[in-house]
Formats: sequence, structure tokens, C-alpha cells
Amino acid sequence: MTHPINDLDEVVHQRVRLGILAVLAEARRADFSFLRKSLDLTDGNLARHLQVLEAAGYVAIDKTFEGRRPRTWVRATPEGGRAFQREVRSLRELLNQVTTTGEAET
Amino acid sequence: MNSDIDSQPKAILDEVDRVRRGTRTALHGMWFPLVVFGSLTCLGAGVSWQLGGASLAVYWAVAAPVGSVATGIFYSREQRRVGIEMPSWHWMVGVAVIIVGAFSTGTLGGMLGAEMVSAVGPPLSVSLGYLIFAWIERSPVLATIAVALATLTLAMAISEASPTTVATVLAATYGLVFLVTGLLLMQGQRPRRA
Repeated sequence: MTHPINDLDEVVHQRVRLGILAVLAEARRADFSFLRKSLDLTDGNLARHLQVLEAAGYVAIDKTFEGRRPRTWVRATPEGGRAFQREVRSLRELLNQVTTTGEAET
Repeated sequence: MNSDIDSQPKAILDEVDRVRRGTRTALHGMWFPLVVFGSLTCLGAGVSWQLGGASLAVYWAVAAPVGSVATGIFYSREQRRVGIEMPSWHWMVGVAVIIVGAFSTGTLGGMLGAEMVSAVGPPLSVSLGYLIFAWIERSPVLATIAVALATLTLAMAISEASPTTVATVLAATYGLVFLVTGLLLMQGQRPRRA
């Protein structure tokens, strides 16, 4: 059995990107402003992380207009949803191992 | 033990849970259906009292779609305003439990001549539906109210009151509790919305 740390996904493991996928795990889609406010990010920072997730195929970005107002909607792709679940599972396994090792040491 | 490294997965998982909870409750919209259906239920109690229990089926055949459409429009507008679209399937499960449960127990009670089943079945279905809504919104307040109302319903079912009195008292109680809870939740949301 491999150590759970080997199952961590470099793209998803980054804190902000994990936060983005956590929001999208609960919602069908979220707009750029909602993500920015929820995760307390700047426009540029969020845009950079979304580019990384989009390049990995983990999110899909739809740019729309509501009246004259442009709006950017983001949703997790099925692959993104699976990557998020895998990451959470790996983190839980890692935590369990750390806890078990800690208890054995004391 | 290196506590910084060891506590990191826990800190990350806690943060993920916090973000997920925040997203689930971002709309803060539960007050609206509570006010709408609380008002409609209070009105239904009046209809039942004035025109008899049989008129309630006709009343709800009109009131339930009106309330549901109003709630759907409200959520649709709120989602656009807040910037998040939530999956609707689990809400549909809650609504289906209420509609199917209420109409089937009401009809079954009528067919079997068991008036008490017709009197307590629909309110029990409503409390079960609200328990599902409480889980969706992760709202302990709503869950407590749903369980309290279900307990009251079961207590009324084994009381010696007539089915008509039970139906009217339960409708009035459910209506008032939902209306007051909805208004309190609406008030509580005002500072956060500003």
C-alpha cells in the first residue's frame, strides 16, 4: 500500500484551488465574484488559480452577459469533482496515519 | 512529533468543511418558503374551520402550486443575485415527500374511513419534508422545529380530540410556527445582507 501522501494531487492540493473545488462540490456553479468573496481573494489571484484548474480539466468556465453586465460562471467538471473527492480522501487517510502514529508514540 | 506538519491535514480539512458549510448556507433563503407556506397553512386552518376538512384538498390543490412557484422564482432570483446555483434535486425530494405523503395519507384515510389518518398524515409528511430541508441547510433550528411538530402531531393522534379539531389545531400550529420562524430568520439575515 502506498503512503497517502503519494496520492495528493499537486494541482488540487494547493489551498486556494482546494477551496475553489470545495465551493463547487456544493454548488452546480458559482460566479467569479462569489468565489472571490467566499475565499477572500483578489481578482488576479483567483483568475490565476482558475486558469490552472481549467488547464487540468478540473473546472469549466462560461463567460456570459446578463444585460450588458459580463458574468463569469465556474463549474467543476466530473474529473474535477473526482479529483476533489480523492484529495479529501487522501488527506483523511494522512490524518488517520498521523493520529495513529502519534498515539503509538505516546 | 512535528505538530506543524502533523496538524496541517486537519487544518486543511477543517477549512474545506468550513467552505462547504458556508456555500450550502450562502443563499440564506429558507425564510421565504417558511413565510409563504406558514401563511398558506394558517389560511388553510381558517378554510378548514369555516368550510370543513374536505375543502382543504381543494384549497391545497391551488395553494401548493402557487406557493411552490413563488418559492421557485424567489430562489432563482436569489441565486442570480448571490452568484451561486445550487443543485435542486434534494429540494425536490423534500417537496415530493410532502406532496406525495400528504395527498396519499389524506386520500388513504378517506378511503378507509379513518379520519384521524387524514388529519395527522399530511402534517406528519410536512414535518418529515422540513426535516429534509433542515438537513439540506444544515439548520439545527429547523430540525428541532420539525421534530417538535412531528411529536406534537403524534401526541394529537392519540389524544381524544375529534379528527376535525386535530386537523385544525395542527394546521394552525404548523402555520404559525413556520410563519414566526420564517419572519425571525428573515430578520436575522438583514445585517448579513447589508
